[in-house]
Amino acid sequence: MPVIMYREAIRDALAEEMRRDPRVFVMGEDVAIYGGAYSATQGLVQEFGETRVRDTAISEMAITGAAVGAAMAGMRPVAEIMYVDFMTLAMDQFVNQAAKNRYMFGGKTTVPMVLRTEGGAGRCIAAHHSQSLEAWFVHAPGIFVVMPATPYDAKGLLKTCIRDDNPILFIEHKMLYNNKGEVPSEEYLIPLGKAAVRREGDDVTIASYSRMALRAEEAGKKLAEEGISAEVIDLRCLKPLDIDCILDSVKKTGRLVLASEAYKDGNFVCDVAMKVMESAFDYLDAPIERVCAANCPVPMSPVLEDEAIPRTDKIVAAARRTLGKA
Amino acid sequence: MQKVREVKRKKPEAAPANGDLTAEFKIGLLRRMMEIRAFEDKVFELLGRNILQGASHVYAGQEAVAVGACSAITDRDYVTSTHRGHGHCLALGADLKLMMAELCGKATGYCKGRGGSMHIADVSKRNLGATGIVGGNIPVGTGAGLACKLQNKDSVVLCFFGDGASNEGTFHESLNMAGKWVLPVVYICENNLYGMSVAFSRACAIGDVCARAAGYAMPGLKVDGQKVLEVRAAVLEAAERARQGKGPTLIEAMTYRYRGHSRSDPRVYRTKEEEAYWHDRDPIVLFKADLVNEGVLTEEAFAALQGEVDKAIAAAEKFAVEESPYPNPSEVMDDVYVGWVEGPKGLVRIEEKKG
Amino acid sequence: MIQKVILPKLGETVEVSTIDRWIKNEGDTVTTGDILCEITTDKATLEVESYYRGTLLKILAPPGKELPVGSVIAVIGEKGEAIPEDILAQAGGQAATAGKEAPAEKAAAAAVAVAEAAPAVAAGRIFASPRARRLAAELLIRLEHVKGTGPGGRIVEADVEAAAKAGRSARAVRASPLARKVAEREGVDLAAVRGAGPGGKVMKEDVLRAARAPAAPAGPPVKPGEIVPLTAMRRIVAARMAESKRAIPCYYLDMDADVTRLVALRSELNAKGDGRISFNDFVVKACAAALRAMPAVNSRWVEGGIQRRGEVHVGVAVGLEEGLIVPVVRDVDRKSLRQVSAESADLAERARSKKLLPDEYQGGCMTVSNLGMFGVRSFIAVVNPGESTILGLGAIEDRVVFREGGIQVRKIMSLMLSADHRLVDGAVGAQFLKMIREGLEAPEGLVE
Repeated sequence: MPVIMYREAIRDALAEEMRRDPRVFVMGEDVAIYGGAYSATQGLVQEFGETRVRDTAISEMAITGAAVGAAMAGMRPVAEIMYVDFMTLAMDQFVNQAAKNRYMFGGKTTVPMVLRTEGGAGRCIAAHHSQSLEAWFVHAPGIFVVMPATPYDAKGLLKTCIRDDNPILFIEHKMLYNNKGEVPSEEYLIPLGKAAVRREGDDVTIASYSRMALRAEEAGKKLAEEGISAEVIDLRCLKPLDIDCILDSVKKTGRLVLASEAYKDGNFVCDVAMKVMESAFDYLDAPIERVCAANCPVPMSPVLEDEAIPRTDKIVAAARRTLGKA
Repeated sequence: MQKVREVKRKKPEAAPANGDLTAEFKIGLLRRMMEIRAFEDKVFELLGRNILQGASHVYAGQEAVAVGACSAITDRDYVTSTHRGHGHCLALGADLKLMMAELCGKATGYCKGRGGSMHIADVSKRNLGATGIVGGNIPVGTGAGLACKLQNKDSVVLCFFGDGASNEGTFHESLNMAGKWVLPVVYICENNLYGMSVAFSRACAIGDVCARAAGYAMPGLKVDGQKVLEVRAAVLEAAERARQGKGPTLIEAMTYRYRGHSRSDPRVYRTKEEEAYWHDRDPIVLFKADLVNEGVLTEEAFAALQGEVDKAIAAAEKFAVEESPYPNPSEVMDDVYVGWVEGPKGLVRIEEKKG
Repeated sequence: MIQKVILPKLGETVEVSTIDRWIKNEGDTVTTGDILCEITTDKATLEVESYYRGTLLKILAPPGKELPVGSVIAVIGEKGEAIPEDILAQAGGQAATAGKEAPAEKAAAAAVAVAEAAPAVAAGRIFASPRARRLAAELLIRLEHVKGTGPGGRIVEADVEAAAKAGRSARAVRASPLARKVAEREGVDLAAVRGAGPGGKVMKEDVLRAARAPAAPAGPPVKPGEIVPLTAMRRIVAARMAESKRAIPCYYLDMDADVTRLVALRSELNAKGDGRISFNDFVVKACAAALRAMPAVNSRWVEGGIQRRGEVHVGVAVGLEEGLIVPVVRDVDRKSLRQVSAESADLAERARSKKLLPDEYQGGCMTVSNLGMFGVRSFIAVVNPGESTILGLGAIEDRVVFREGGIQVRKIMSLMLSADHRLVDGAVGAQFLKMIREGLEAPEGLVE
């Protein structure tokens, strides 16, 4: 099976969907000639031309809003916001217009658009280029939020998102772009709302997403060395959320650790913990643990950045705490 | 792989030029303006009687802009609207009853009672909706224009917004994009001289909205928004330009809203003299006078028209207030997503029911 | 005609307004659009316009009076027209009621405050995880007797499991070594044996006596007049049965099923394969088929209406020493008779050893209860809350019946259906029971 990079998987998904459906087009800052800030759209303008792969001005509101209007008028745009940190500039168009138009208009329209963006820390580019803001978008009814961690998931999920009729925020991670993984050359889709169990176990459940899902897997391996059997789940989709996967696991293990790269306060995983409490309270043998980024703007210095963002050893420690070990 | 099929069809009809309008068409324009005025007056009354809840922003006084502009396009074109959007919706031919029902939050309304006054849309008439965010639909209209261009259609988009919105970032980003990408959008700024309470002259760094067109590589022009045929002519020309692939236009229509921004606005920021001046330039009165002078309309015919309009509004009120039910509360979560619905533990996929 | 002028609600948050001054006076001619008066809200002074044409006949609200939005403030009509009494009275009453609302609300608010002020009585708290508590309830273990090894001394699941294991082994019973040997050989639980030896020690004779005696309830002997605290199971059974009798309007249908063929078929099947198929298994299958065929019966009463169940789960009542539990076989309509039998047996075994999970004793659509093994001819069972029906089975008896013009001896089993009349009407219930009987009388159809 071919082994390709996360960013190549994304590019392949875009190319395949654009070949399949003439309504799909791409627009964003530096996506055409430059091929994307992280090379995820490399080669597309050469194949599809500047009409369908459009370099825009630096205008997040117009990029996002134009995607809304184009989607409502019959196209299937895949717009890009270069950094999730810049979504703040696009908030109204995405959260007020894209998310709500279907509902406000009595279900009589759809907004089939995908907004690709990327987030996360690890490059020492500090507070305005390293955030994880998914919680803000999960909070808005009407949009879906997808965060793949592997090349296989990135391709299968992006294709599904493009074919879905809901407005979807597809958040990639800057540290994952050059990661390699097996990706079939045959066509495949991954359905929305399905988590992936990366490792089976009985003692504690560790659920996470995006880059932290990879750290959670490492944590699972480390815990196995000391005889703790962890079940590791990669959520993949924050909304719709595969809550049943988490619940089944927690009913088995009785212990849950949630890991996320977003700031601790108001983190998305708090909502997950609440959902688990609502449906599986009687199955909990220990309080739910969360491992999140510190409540401070992401610092620049590598030493500080490493301290602020959840490390594998912090996930391991949280798992051990659920088992009553120091 | 999906193929795009080329369908040979005859060139779609364009809207007739002003000089070619029949008497019937012109009376139709007058009637439409009268319907909007009567509808808006009724809305204000119902707000005062608290039968209409929430906020509603009344279009009375600006009728010529909506009617003039919307009569210049065809049914293959799009419109985006604003929080003061009843006029645009009615000008496109919306049903009075269904609109009133929507404002009353009834199940029979255009948006099943979910959108109400500020978010009214009639998607079947290509009205992509009103929005509660000032300037919120300018990028959306721009995007619809992009879609028309990508689909190689000669459709255009009328993108309405107010003088206040011309200072929003969305205005500038959108016009820049439309100017650079040569999009078929007619940007129509309804300059009614005031944002909420702050006069345009106190908010804008320059004196005209249309002058900003120069910054975005498109023609800009100012029209008398109280003259329905003048508005129509300008929009017709701009739409034709856009259809020929020559890009966007910015039209600034000078007009006036007779009532306050909303029902609780005592309009202390306007002088009585200014209001009187604009009441003397009532677009309905002006057009009626033109038609009477042309010999196309008599006073009796006008009175009859007014009678028909009053009846229609009364019927709409009855339909909305007395005959229409409220939506079932159990429907509150419908249509948030396509294909998914909220279950007890979270979102669940709606199973495909094979009929 | 008389038209009422209403004090308009000029502002979403406006509840009251005050008339500042009247611009038109009584007797003035007014037309639509004329300003009648000026009012003040909490935000601004605004004008009230007329929606009617005519003469301002009467002003009902003087300036300076604060009135609720919607009050009638004036009347417009034809000159000389009479104003109806009720309008005048309404206007008079309006100002009076404006002030009335507040005290009632205050009283209610005060009542709530008093109720909340009484603090919760804090009892001596046991710290145990929810999982541990649930397991303890299932295993009937009292948390006071469990040592916690979790953080802060919290009782966790493992602690409850440990306590259960320890409890099962002889609870530090004083017994002679010979008594212990005999107890092991005879399968007697030492903890349940009353010791007659010195100081209550259990001797061999005590064990032998216990082995011969009929199964007596476990636990320490009860003194006359003593009130035994309720076990969790007893509490639950009592509550559910009382609730059922209180809230469910039941009626009962009595039918006899000719199970001659069924008895024969069962012997045949049990001779062939391994595993023992019971009569209950056949009944469970027949019930499932009937539930599937009659969705009206496969329903439950919930707040807001009747909920149709898509799935078919059937419970089989199992009597335990401490009480009653109903393990549920799920999706019976999708399983063969043998599968149902195997599952049923496994569930019953685990019910007896108290190892059932909540999923396994909840969620049934109906229950089957059999007291035939005790010789009961027929009985009326109690519907489980959450279900629509329960079927009570009696003993299979050889009976003389009149058939095909002559007298025959057939094997007859009594079927008694208790049904919730809110969900299942008489005719529907009768059809349902008939379907079950027909299923039992053509038992070959139940095997798959």
